[in-house]
Amino acid sequence: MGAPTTNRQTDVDSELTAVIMAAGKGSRMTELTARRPKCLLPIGNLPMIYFPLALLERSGFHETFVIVQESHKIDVTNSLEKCGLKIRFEIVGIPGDEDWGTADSLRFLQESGKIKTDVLIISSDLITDLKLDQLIDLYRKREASICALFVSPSSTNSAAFNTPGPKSKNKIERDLVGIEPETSRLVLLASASDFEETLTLKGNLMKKHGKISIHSKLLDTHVYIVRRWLLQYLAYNKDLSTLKGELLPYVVKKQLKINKTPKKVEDKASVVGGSIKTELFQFAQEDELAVKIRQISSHSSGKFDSQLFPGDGQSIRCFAEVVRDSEFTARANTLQQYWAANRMVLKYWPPLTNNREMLNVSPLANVSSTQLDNESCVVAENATISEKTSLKGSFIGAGASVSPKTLVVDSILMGAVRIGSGCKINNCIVCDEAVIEDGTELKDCIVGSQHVVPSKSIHNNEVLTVIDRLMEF
Amino acid sequence: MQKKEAVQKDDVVQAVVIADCYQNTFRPVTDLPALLPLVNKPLLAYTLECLSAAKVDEAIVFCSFGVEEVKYLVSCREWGRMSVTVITSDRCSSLGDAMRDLDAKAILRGDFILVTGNLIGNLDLLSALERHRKIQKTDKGASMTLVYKECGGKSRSIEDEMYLGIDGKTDRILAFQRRLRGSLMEIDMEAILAHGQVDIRNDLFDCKVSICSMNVPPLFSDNFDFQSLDDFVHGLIINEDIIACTVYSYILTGSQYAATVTSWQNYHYISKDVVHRWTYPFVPDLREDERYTYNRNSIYLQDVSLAKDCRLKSDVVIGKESIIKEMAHVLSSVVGKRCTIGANSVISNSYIFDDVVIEDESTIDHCVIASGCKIGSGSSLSGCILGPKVEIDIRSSVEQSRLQHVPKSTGEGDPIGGKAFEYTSDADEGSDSDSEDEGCVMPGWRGLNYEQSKPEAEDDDSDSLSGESTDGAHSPIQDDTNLFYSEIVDSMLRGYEDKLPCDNLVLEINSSRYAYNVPLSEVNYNVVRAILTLEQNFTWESLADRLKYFKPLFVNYMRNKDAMLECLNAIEDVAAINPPLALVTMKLIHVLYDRDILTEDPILHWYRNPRSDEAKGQQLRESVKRFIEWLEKAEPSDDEESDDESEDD
Repeated sequence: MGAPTTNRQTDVDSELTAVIMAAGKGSRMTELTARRPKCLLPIGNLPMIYFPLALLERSGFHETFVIVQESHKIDVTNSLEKCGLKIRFEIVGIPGDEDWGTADSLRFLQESGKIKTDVLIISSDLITDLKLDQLIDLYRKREASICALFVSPSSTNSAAFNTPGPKSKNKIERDLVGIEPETSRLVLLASASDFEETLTLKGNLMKKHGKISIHSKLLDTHVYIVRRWLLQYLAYNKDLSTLKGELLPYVVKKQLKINKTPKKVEDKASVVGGSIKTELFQFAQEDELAVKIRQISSHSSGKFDSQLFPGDGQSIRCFAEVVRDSEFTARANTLQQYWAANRMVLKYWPPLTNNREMLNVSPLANVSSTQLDNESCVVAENATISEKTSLKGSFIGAGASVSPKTLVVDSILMGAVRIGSGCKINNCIVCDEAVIEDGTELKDCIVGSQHVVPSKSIHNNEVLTVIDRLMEF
Repeated sequence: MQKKEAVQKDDVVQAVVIADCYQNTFRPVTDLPALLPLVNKPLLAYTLECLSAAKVDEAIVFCSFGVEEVKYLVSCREWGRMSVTVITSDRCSSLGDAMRDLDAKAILRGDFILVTGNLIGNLDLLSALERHRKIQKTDKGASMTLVYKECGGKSRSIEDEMYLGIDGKTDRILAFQRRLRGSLMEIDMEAILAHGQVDIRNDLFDCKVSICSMNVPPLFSDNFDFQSLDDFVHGLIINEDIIACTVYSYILTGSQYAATVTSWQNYHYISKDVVHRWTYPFVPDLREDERYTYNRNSIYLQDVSLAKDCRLKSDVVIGKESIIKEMAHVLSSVVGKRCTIGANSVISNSYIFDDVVIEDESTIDHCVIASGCKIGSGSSLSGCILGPKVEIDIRSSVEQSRLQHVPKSTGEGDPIGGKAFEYTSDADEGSDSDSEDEGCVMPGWRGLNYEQSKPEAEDDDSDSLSGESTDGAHSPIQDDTNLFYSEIVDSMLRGYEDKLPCDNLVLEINSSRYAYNVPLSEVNYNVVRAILTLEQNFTWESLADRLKYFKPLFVNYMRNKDAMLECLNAIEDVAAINPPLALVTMKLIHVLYDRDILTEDPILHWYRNPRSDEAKGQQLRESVKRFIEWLEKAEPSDDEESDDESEDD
């Protein structure tokens, strides 16, 4: 990278603290996460968390916090060290036995005193070819309290892939995102399932924003820029547990509240006794000087200024950037999306990994097969691929072995998987240390970790795990 | 341009002009606003000019009365290449009837443009028509394209305010709601989820111009309950599955202007728009028949005799042969032909039609004065609408009224001046006037003054009051209570205004309660709070009215001591924020006691156990002290009674 860009990069670091939320348990894909933290599930043989780190790296960040569960701290450190990323990261462990949401994690970080600036939050399951520049620019331009990043769905449709496991109704969680197009202001955020038959909008909301575009098909990347005062508020209000589900809709809603001048707030506080709303506004108090500068400044960006900066305490401002030119963006938090990400990763390898050299077959792998499709397969170190095997469109994890006369097509074999001879594995995910004995035919199946599939069995669209409970998913 | 010519060659472009307005908005001045002069030219003439300039080939003027006048106006001059026919039908009392009549007469040959006779505009109708045809190619059910203009939420009367839900990609209208029907907008979730992006708009002005497909008149015939265009649009959206027809929007771009006069308020702004030349080329100085001179500060004059020291400030139009006398001031007003404005008079924001005499020293503000009126010297009129030939005596002062020159047939009208009688519209007066009342709740009469639509009370309230309701204030759960509160306020306001049976409200409140999972104590608290703050009017009359109506609610919710305590707490909290209530609190509690809604125990308990040491709470308790003393005196006997009873048992 050239000299001029370096200047700017340091700017980003001093302005924003990046935090990667990687403590998720993968509750939407328990088939795969029994023995491996979600953030380390392989996508193109790279751990999932590699991709958000690469995103931060190409957006100019030099350091980041990574929040993981305390018990996974070592695993994550180890696998990230192998990835060869330039970005420095500090891994912060949170207690894993408590069911913490993203806001809880953030509060933990805030209370640890490690955060000195505003925060950019990114989820460990975001696989995207985007850069964060647009979002960061929006945050700077609008002096936003919260900025969120949405992606308009492109042609890459996850439904096009046949996801392993039992056929399930693909219940997509959809958000309603209301944005005032002219200013990118985020005025409504809710889950579509919160409403039954009708969506009701208040007259005030519409009076304030003449035009609101309600999007229902956007992908929420779960990348947010959050002002520091909101973190302080989080530390104060311990009832908020998640960012997306609780904090964000709450703050978005509060934008509409009648503006109170600081003095009035004090009055109210004494009469009513600190109600929560006044508290949020109190946290949001802006530097008086900054407000004055803004009022006096001749800089104007049209309607925006007169509307948003009338100086009457509009201190809570949420914005959303909608990106339309992403070739590939997925949040690998469901099995479908995880699978789609794996299917697409090689196609978009350079933009997803900052032009990382694609090493299809590790030099440390032991490959005797002549029918290994170098273009569509990735074989990790210490993997053994015997002769007379045919592999296509598959990712073979470290230490996995494939015995002779076996066919592996469009599948993911994680670490130390053993596949016997004469097997046919088609469109499957085989988790760590699973054993598939000789002569087995699997199609569209998920094999749980350490599970042994007895020889000569035939399975279609099934989840094969030790624990029966998981069959339900 | 080539394309447009192609459209013209293909077929004849037809426009239907509905000259009737089916409402009595403009009485007593006129029943036929199409003939109402706006900046000294009848509205229908603007409409026909607009159509002619937009290269419409055939205009069909539809009217049910005043036919002779309409025909005369149409025959007065040529309308370019456009042929104009006048069709009459005396049975029509709504737009729906007119469309059904047109369907029966089968005059329309293809897509047509539907406007009213009150349209002023310079819009390019052919591109709208072309767009409509393009949509028809992809959507066979496309029946209508409604033309809108962006107005940024300003200069609209409440009637004009509306919420639209438009598909971001196709411009299809998915939701349509007038502001008058309620400040909340409801959109079908299915519609939102089926379309990736739905634009909710409150910044559009309805030009009342629509491009209709051939199937529109038959649709009106099939659905005889469609009275107005709103009914039609609404019906098509609601019954999409059954009727399988769709409505689209078309938003005017650039300098195109279109507006339809529907009320005195927008008559006022549209006049201003003409004076400010938004309607170019339809401005007074470019009129073929009677040209005005255009002077600085938007002053248009035509052979006017001006006294030397009269003052015309700005935005003034004065017609032929009018006389403005010494020291008269005219600003932001339109004066017709052959008028006389007396010396030292002040005319502001007013519309004076032809042959009006205003004598010396008069003050006229925000008035419409129809032709032939005479205002006596030294009079002062403000916010008045004067019908034709009204005569006002000298030195009278009239505000906010509508006057006509003959008394109402019943003979009840009070004579205000020699020939000035109060005009009151009552619902069953005109046979043709009320068709739309069902569809659209018209607010009370208003003159020219533009009133800002009131901000929604519920939000202001919830903001100032909420948070103190319970201890659980530290989580978003508290927001549920807020939502619950604003929902019940909506229900109650609607019920109160429409005087619905109060029992239905109980059902609504209970369903809101379960929807937001609000504990009973908060329900009790919030119901009382809502009743008290439903209107920001804490005079006893207003409160008594509310109490009377909501009594069933009190009876239903104040069932035990805790509920009564919540009720008292609510009264205390509301009074703390609204001092006027504190003045009548004693009366309020007394009445509630008298009606057996509150009993003594909770009142005394509330009085003796303040929740905090706040000064306001103490003050309030001080103010009800007299009642409490009275109650305490009465108490022992009551206690004895109850004791006796228990002993008897």
